[in-house]
Amino acid sequence: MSTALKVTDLAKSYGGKRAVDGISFDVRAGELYALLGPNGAGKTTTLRMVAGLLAADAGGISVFDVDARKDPLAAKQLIAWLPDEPLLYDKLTAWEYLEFVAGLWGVPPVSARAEAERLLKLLGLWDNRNDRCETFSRGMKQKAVLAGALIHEPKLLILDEPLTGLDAAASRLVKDLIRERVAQGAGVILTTHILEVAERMADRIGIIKDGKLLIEGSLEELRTQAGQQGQSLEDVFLSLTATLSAAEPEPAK
Amino acid sequence: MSKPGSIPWLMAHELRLFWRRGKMRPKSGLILIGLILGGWLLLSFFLFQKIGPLIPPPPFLNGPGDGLALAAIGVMIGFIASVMTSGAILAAVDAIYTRNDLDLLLSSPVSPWRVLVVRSSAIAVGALPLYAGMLGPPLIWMAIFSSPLWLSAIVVLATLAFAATGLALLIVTGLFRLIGPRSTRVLAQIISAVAGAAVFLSFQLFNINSHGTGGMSQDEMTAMIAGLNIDPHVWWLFPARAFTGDIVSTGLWLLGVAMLFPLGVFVFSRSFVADAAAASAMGKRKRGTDARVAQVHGGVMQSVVRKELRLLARDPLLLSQIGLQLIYFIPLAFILIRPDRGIMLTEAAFAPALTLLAGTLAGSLTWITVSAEDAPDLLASAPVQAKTVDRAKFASAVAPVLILMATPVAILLVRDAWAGVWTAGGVIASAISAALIGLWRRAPGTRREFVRRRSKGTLMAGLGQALVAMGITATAGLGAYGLPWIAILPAIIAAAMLGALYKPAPSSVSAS
Repeated sequence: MSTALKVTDLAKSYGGKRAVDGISFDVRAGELYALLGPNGAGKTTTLRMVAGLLAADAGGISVFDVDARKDPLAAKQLIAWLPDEPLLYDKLTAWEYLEFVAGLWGVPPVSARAEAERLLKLLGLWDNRNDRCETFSRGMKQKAVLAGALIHEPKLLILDEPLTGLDAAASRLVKDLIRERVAQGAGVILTTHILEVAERMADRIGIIKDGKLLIEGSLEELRTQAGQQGQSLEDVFLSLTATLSAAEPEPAK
Repeated sequence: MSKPGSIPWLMAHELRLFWRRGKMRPKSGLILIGLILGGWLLLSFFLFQKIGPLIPPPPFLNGPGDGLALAAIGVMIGFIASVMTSGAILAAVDAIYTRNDLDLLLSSPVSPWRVLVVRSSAIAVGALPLYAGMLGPPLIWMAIFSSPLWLSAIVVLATLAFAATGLALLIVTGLFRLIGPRSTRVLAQIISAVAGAAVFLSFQLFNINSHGTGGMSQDEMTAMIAGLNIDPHVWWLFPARAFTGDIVSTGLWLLGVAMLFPLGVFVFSRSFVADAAAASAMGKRKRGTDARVAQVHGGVMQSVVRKELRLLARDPLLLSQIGLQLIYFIPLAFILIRPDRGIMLTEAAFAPALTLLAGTLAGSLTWITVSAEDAPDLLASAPVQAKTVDRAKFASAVAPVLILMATPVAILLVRDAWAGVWTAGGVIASAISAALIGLWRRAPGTRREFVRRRSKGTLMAGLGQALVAMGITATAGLGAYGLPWIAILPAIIAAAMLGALYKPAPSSVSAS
């Protein structure tokens, strides 16, 4: 199994504060990796660096063996970034939005048209394709952004809280789409505060806190390390974040 | 400290938000405003100490001379009122469409009526500082050095803001009833633009239509004004009489405001909840499915240009702002098309006018296309060079301006090739330089922020665009008037300023 994403000693500071502190992990092709952590742990900062939205201070990012820091455009060609807040152009229709995104990624018009139709139908937005995004509900916007993220058939999906604001049906749809991509061999890395999602979907889970990767592995491996056999991910997560952070030295005052 | 939920408490909340809406720190803002106001107070003191005793003391109620003075004051009041009404219309529309904290306030146990009275009053109070600052100090010194009756002008100015707000609330509510939420927003913005330019336009149209062939000389103009023979007691001059301290007119004015403002607030408030609900549901109405499946076009540059042009064409606020800029051009265009009417201008006069207009328009459009980007992360995460996106945005801002200017420039070229060439050069240089400054001095934000801020980005960008545009305008004007050698000087100054404003565009994040 090839490596979709390899992150090595990645670091980022804001005004002297280490937001991400030497994180290393990898995501394999055909794998869903959940990056979990409390608020302010550095999850979004890490993902934004991987997506090329934020410059890293140090470390390496490799996407399917493309060095993302040396050749960002080649890496971006393989990536799709789905932020937690759906950023759309209110005055564009869903169809025009997809056309625009396809243009940015250089998708040939014929395949873009076919893929846009397939995705809009799949996500239940086909009848709204000529409606402006300003008329969409939050869930519809999230689905439109997801369609935009998938239109160039990315090999690495970076999803920051992809299920925020979605109703049960839309949430199921998005999860199915993510699974489909994983089955097709794409690597997926996502953050979520809904631990049941990670528990059910993730092949491997990484837990970060204060910018450092505390632990990673399959759910079973995490249970073993936490000594919480048979417990839910929520119990394991709370136990590990409490234990591992308590074991850390007090920061210097 | 006022009781939470009371009118003073709510008003303090509104004023605090009003005060903090700019980018400047409140303390620095206070110091800056204090300095400007103090300086103006001092300057106007020395000025009016000299000329104050020479100003005839009001009221002006005796004969046609006084009538003419009142008419001039009336025009000034009309101008201020039109600008205030224009601002209040936009603020009232914002209150309905961009509700922000109103949802919070209206969901609290505070009386909705009280909330809306305070919000409406805040609209009026927000319109005051500019005119209070500009006219307040001279009026105070005029009251001291000429006649205390000038103090009445301060009362009229302050209450004028409330009258304008009352009128604006009635207009917006009326539009909502007549044409529905969808069209109200656009039409209100157009009305606001027209209201802002109303006095200027009436003067220009009067100027164009008041005489036949040939121009009107200064003597003819003076004779015409003298011949107007305006009766100072005519009813429509009562705001001007109130401004100059006539007791009866002041009472009438205050009575009018005391009726108009509460009426506006009452009508607006009564329908506000329903209107706001209609506005929030706007666009969600279920239409028949649009079965069209459009073609997909490719290409990075084309995609960005297409997207920017679509967004520009669908932005009612932007269109109204451009409309406002174009409205000032209407009288010029009228003269250009019909040279036999009111020809006080030669073709050369169009060079600076069109050049300035092109720069202003390009500046506005660049701010929208470059700075007001709603999905910066999408662009940053795309496999596209930042400079490619910038080029496309630049083209999207400049192209509409050049297309718009093409017709008047072509007419000028036919009628006066020399003036036409200078105008064409000025228009192109002005549009390109304004767009470049917008690119170099971008102030990233979303379109919603643009609506709220109503500004064109950084102070440096705005000032730079204005100064460079003035330099190029002077160049085009002097050149068109047959002074090409003198035109070199402002051209050099404009180029130097443009060079000083150069700042490399931020590179792609990952590439850094």
